[in-house]
Amino acid sequence: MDEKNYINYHILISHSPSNLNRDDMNMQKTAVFGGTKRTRISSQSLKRAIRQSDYYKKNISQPSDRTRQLGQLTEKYVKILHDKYPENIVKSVISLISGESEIKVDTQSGAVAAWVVSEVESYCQLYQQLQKENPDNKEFEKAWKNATDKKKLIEDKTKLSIFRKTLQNGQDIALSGRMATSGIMTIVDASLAVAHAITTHTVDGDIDWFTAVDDLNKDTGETGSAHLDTTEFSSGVFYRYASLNIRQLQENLGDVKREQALEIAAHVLHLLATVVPSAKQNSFAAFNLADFAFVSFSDQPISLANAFENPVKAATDGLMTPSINAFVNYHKAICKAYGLKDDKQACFSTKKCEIKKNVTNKGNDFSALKEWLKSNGN
Amino acid sequence: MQDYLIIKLQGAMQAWGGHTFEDYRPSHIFPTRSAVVGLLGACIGIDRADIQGRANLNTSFELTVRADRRKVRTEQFGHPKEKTLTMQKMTDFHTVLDARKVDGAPRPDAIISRREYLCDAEFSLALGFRKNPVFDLEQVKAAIQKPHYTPSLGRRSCPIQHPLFETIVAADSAQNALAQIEPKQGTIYSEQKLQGSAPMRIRDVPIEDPVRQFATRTLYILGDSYVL
Repeated sequence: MDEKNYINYHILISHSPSNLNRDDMNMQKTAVFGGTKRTRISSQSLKRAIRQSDYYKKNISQPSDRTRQLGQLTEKYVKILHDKYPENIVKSVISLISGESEIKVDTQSGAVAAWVVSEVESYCQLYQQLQKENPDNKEFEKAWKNATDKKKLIEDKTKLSIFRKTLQNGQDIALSGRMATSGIMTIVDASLAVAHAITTHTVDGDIDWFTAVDDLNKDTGETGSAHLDTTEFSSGVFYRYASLNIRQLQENLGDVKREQALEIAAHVLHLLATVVPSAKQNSFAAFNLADFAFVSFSDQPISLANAFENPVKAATDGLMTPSINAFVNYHKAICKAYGLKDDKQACFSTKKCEIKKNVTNKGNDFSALKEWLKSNGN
Repeated sequence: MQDYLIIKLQGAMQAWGGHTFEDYRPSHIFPTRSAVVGLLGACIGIDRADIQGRANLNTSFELTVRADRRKVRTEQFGHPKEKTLTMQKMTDFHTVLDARKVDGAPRPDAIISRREYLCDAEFSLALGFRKNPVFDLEQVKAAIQKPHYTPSLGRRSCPIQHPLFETIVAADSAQNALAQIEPKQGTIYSEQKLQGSAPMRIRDVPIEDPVRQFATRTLYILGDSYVL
């Protein structure tokens, strides 16, 4: 039972000129690392792009409904659940969960919350059952309060597990977590930790000065532009890092088996290696795939960003190959220094690289790396 | 002589939150006591709701922090060179819809939230354990080597880049314990008065209450020529 609890994902992905994540001045987000400036893609941006991707919806689940439009949400859920529960029960349950006394078409909640239809369904079931057992209204209210009390739920692990099971259709919550919201939705701690992605090398952004031409102005002899502005852009090799707490994911989904968590873990690898944020993509189209992915089963979640603390310099073969080499060499050094030798590790690379003997090399076969992860590193 | 558990906090980005409410999320320039208790509690597996467990952990150790004066080896024209890194503060721009006001009511419009991070920072912690603590040195050591919940450097988006456990050293004071740890230089934030140090009050001691509120303590700062 002494299985490694953490999966470390290390990804190198090269983006052609783009502006994938911006600040309030429309400039690229940056960070200082190793004393030099790097381009950065925030973890929030990366996670949202992942959650909204087609691959996610197809292979993991529909993401939860993150909304404060309670009226619209209720309409949607009433439709989905109409075979199983009458409208008034769904409405009452959402009103009880959200703490809003009445749900109208335009009702908005105080804050954006992550809703999952199966979770609402399980509360509907509870509602119906308690109504049957307690025909008296006051008795029912008492019973409902008792059954959904957050504190008692946390103490009673089996009950909590039943509610968590309903999250199996809202796996983004099991992965990304859910903070305390109003009402009775249970708090879930995120099992996936995603780092801000930073470039492996120093980046000086370029400024693109652009104009927009007014087509209907031409006839008047107007030669100036109708609009001018600037936008910053750059290209770079990004290091993406994330870690998955397998036990936490199992727990969040209602104590599922490790194999089931590993299946999701393999999809997470796919998403980290392929999903690109959408910002400014209509002007830059930097839809690039990762060239390198390294995965390990470990006792500790450790990022290997320090491989790039000394910024990588472009060689005749560009920035990707020296970035891979820097990663591989640093990985060797850190394993030796800290005796991390019993970790199960594997990698995929579109370029040639010399990895340690005890790392399973899947060559340039990305799907083989996914399979390896799914089968617990065997 | 006493044994000190030495922990390294190292990562490209770190955030050690101070007084905050939704829109402005500043970071102290060194890890706070509440942050260290939270980090170790996560490793041990103390639940968010387990107030007593957190309090027991808080009273188990005395904390001394050193902001390391860190050097990296680089190369210039083929010759090895050492470069001292300076910790810098960075502000991340982030939008939040329905942020709460101080009274808990939501704001009608999206707000701009600025979150501070430390770049290029590294800290060495010396933990001296009290007599008969609820959580002792060996327990904490085992936990940071095999954490239960995912440890991070103040925010979930700031992973550790170096194993937390560094070593155990015997010394007659935390200051002398840290003097044995590379890079052997940096500004010390101590709970004991040190010769030549300056006092500072900080509100970062978790109190036994479900609400996240904090008591104050006195810290003594002893900077070398590299003071932040």
